[in-house]
Formats: sequence, C-alpha cells, structure tokens
Amino acid sequence: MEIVKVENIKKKYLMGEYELEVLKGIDLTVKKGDAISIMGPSGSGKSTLLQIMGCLDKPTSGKLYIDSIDTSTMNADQLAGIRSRKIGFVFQFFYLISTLTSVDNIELPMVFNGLSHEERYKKASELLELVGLAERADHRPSELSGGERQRVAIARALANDPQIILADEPTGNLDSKSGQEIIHLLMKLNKEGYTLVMVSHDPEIARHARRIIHVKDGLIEKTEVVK
Amino acid sequence: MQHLDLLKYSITNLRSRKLRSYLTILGIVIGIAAIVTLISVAQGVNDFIMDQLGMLGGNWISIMPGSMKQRMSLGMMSAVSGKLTTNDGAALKSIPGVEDVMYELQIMRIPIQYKNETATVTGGGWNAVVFEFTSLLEVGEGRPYKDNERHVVVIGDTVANDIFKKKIEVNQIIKVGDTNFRVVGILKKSGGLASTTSGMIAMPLEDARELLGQQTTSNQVDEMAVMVSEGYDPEKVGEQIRLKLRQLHHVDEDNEDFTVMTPESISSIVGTITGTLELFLSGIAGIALLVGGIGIANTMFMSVMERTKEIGVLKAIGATDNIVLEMFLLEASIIGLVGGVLGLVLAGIATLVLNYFGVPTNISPELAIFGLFFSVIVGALAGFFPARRASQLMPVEALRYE
Ligand SMILES: Nc1ncnc2c1ncn2[C@@H]1O[C@H](COP(=O)(O)OP(=O)(O)O)[C@@H](O)[C@H]1O
Ligand SMILES: [Mg+2]
Repeated sequence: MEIVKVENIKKKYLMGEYELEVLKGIDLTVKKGDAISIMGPSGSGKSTLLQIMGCLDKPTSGKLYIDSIDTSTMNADQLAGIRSRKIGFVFQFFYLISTLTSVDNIELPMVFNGLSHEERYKKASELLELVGLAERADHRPSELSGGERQRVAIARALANDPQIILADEPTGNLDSKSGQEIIHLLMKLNKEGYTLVMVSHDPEIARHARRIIHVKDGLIEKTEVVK
Repeated sequence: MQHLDLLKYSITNLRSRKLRSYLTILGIVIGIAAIVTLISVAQGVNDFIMDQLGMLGGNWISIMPGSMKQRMSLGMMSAVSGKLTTNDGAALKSIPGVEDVMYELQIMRIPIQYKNETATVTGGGWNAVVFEFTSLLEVGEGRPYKDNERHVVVIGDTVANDIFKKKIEVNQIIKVGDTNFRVVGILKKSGGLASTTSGMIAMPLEDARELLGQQTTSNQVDEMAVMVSEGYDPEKVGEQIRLKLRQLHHVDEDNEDFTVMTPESISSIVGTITGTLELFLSGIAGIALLVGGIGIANTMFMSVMERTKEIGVLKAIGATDNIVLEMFLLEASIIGLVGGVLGLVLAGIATLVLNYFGVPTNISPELAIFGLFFSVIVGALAGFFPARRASQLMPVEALRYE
C-alpha cells in the first residue's frame, strides 16, 4: 500500500530577479513499512522534499498523495488534519516546546487532535516507555541531553499514530553515540511497523535504511537498495 | 475540553517565561497607568472647576458699574464711568421678583491689629443679606452680623487661626484701621474657590464706608446683587432691572453705564471656559490613549512576532490556524487583564501622589472598567494580528523565522 506518493514535484523560489529551482521534478513512492533514506550534498533539496512530503510546505507544481488522497487541493485546516493524524515529523533541532515537560510535549499533538486528558496521558506514558525515557517525564527540554530531546521529539511524532515518520537529519545535531542510539530507535520503530523516511548526508546513517534515494541538483540521481 | 487545555498551555507558557511575561506586562501596566492617571486628572480638574462654578451659581443677578464693553476694553480692574448707589438698589426693590438687594464695598488692603500685632488683610463691606447670597461666606463659629449693628466683623478662618500668634476667638475685639471691632463670627474653613475668602474680613456696609473715608461718596457701592424671588424667571427680572437702571441713570441701550449679569449670561461665560478646558483635557486623554495604546500594541506585537518559530512548531505537529490563534489570543488577553489590573493599581498610587501635591483626580468606576477593557482589547488585538499572520504561514515559513 502506498502511504506517500510524490508525482513530478517541482519547487521554485523567486530570488528577486531570478528563479531558483530547488526541486526539478521528483517522483517517489513510499510503501507501508518502508525505510528510506534520502541522501545528497548540502543544498540539493533534501529538506525541501521531505517538508513537502510532510505538508509543511507546498510544491510549486506536481502532486502529493498521502494515503492515496490528493493534498494539492486541500485547505489549511485539512492540511493541519493530515499533519496531525498521518504524519510524524522529526527535526534536526528537535523543536520541542521549551516551557513544557517531556510528557506535555508529547501530549500536545493529542491536544490538537482532541483527545481527552486520560487518553493523552496513557499514550504519552507508553511512548515515553517506548523511547526509554519514562523517568524523564517531568523534565523540561533544557534538563535533557540532545539525544534525550530527540527521543522526546520522536515520541511526540508518534503521538497520534501517524502513517509515516519523516525525520530530517535526526542525528545531525548529536554526537555519534547518541546518533547511533537514535538511528537504532528509528529502525526499531520501523521493525514494529512504522514507515520511515529520513534525510541524511552521512552514508553510515543512511545505510540503515532499506533504500537510499540519491538526490542531486533537485533530481533523483539514483535509487540504491541496501543489502 | 480542548479550550481548557489551550488555556492551560497559555498559563504554563506565561509562568515559565516569567521575565518576558513580566516585561510585556510591565509595558501594558505603564500604558494603562498613564492613560487612567491622565484621564483621572482631566476628570478631577473638570469636577473641581464645575464644583467651584456651582458655588457661584444661584438665583441671583449681579450688577456692576460700567458697561460690559468698557470692562472688556479697559480690563476688569480699571476705573469705569458710572456709579451704582443704594438709591438704585432701593428703586430696584419695586420690581416684582426682586426679593432683596445686596450691596458691596471693596477694601483692597486694610491693617488690622490684635494683641499688639498688626497685619494687613483684604476685606469689604456688605449688608447682612450677603450671608444668604453665597456659600462662599459660610459662618462656622459665632453668627453673621445684622444690618442694625455697627463695628462688628466676620473674619475668615485664616485670619482667625493663622495670621496672629494667638488665635482670635468669637466676641474678641480687633482693631480695624483705627477703630475697634467686635468679632461676631468666623467663616468655615473650606477649600477651592471659597478659600479666597478665608483671608478676608467682612463688615457692615456703613463701617466699610467709614474706613474708606474720602474715597467714596455717601451712598455709592462697588457692586450690587439682586436675589430673585422664587417662581420668577431671573432673565425676565434682569431685563426689568436694566430698563429701570437706564431710566434712573438717564441712558439708553447704547450707552449703558452698568452691567447686569443674569445666571444665564454667567453660565454662558462659564460654558466657554469649561468648554475650552474640556477640549484641552480630552486632548490630553486622547494623547494618553494613543501613546498608551501604541505602547501596549507594540509590546504585544513584538512578543508574538518573537514566537513565530514556536507557531511553526505548533503547526508542524498538527495545530490548525484557529488553535494557534486561540492560544495566542488567550495569552494576550491574560497579559492584557493582568497588565490592566496592575496598571489600575499603579494609577491609583499615582493619583494619591498627585492629590498630595494638590492636583485633583477622579478615577470613576467607569474609568476603571474602561481601563481594564482597553487593556484587554488592545492587548488581544495587538496579539491577534501578528498571531493570525504567523498562523497562516506554511509551517516551514514560520519555522524559518529567527
Ligand atoms: N525559502 C527559501 N528561499 C530561497 N531559497 C531557499 C529557501 N529554502 C531553501 N532554499 C534553497 O533551496 C536549496 C535546497 O535547500 P534544502 O532543501 O534545505 O537543501 P538540503 O536539505 O538538501 O541541504 C538551497 O540552495 C537553499 O538555499
Ligand atoms: Mg536540509
């Protein structure tokens, strides 16, 4: 089953006089249970592609299907609904809400999804358990290490049982040991059934996936199957 | 349910960003305090003046020598042609609606002596009816003098209590000029316009004429006032008085040598004064609103702009535009409310200080409620626009904001 389908997506930025075409026509299909890495040099358009796949940004042209539904005609509220229920986004810089504790950060997407306090608390506790941070429930981000923050961010991404996890350089801001742990956590989640697409420019990290999409100058250069 | 959760989020946010919350609130507190204080001064001054002018009002008609035209061109204090006499007054009594006539003789400066100390005061002579005419001369201790008495005085409370080392009591003798006078009454202590009478002495008309000596002819007076009987229109009585005085003075409308001031003509003069004042004070209040409003809007605007990135995160994890808007509107309203309450407290303190320095103020309940509403609404509006702008961005655009 196709979770995400990208069809001839282009993204242009208008830089004053001239146009910068960051994505020049990308086709990509992500099937349920997939684990895909997107690799490429810096500035090749990896983040732009992932953000479009996560409905955080809109393509200039082309189509994006999530769960076989065309998102190009959706209004702001419908897109918010997709982001809320179908997508879990993990950022390089974590982007936790600094004033909230771990458990509150994880509960926040469920607040937006209209879940009751009891449901939220139960789910957040399970997720904290899953990412191995049960004892850090009441800590604020500033009291956590980088690796721990990223675990909380991953738990938050899972809050509403998304169809897919999109991770943009999830280890990019971590030391190699924490980075390894985060990758192992993501791969563990993939084994448990979560679909995963992550961006990385580090071949060691990218290799954990089953497929590596090489992006260069806004186009898919090649698709590599990891043995 | 969700609304309560959002409220909780806002409160958590405000409480854990204490410094920023305090700074934002401080900006609002100062704005609201400035607005409320300035408007309260405007109201206080207005009340004060209306109060004082109210004391002048009443059912009486004032008559002065010289025409209004002369007075305007020569200035209030200049000598004017035309004389008023007690004969004029006696003649006016025949007009229906004239209840009584008050005469006044002014004495600019007069030496008084008490227990070997001397001082100079202002004073004047009036017939006894003056005590019924105006609340400016309200006797506190003792009694007013009567028309058949001579060499008696009613003195202001400053004269009685402050000028001399020893206080002057009722029934004691003071020397006015070269003559001994018995103090029969002491005026009530009062503030405002009435305080102008606290440093003066009042004596019967004949005594004043005696003290003035050569300066005045036998029946001349400096001013007269007519008390209008109940049920008569002061304007109509005033018209009759003018006709009568023209006849007595052998003048016609164009060369009148007297001025008749009815309550209506007084209130129209007063009206132009207070009108100008009100314009001035509402100008100040307007400036306060503008400056305070801009201050509030600015602080709120900046504090929301700063958090565009947070809005990006909230949207990325599934918040709709309206949820974001609600969160920030709640926060802005809470800040506005807290800032408004504290601003009122600060304004209250400021007015106490102003009162101490003699500036009248008045924080009416309406003003307090207005201040609170203004704070919440300006705060919420100022939060609303940047929050809406940020909430309508695509998440990446908001996230890119530094
Ligand atoms: N908002 C923007 N306006 C203009 N150019 C942008 C914008 N966002 C990204 N870019 C450009 O698009 C290109 C691709 O960016 P990005 O997708 O972040 O690359 P990557 O993640 O592969 O390093 C870069 O050259 C970047 O400068
Ligand atoms: Mg990138």
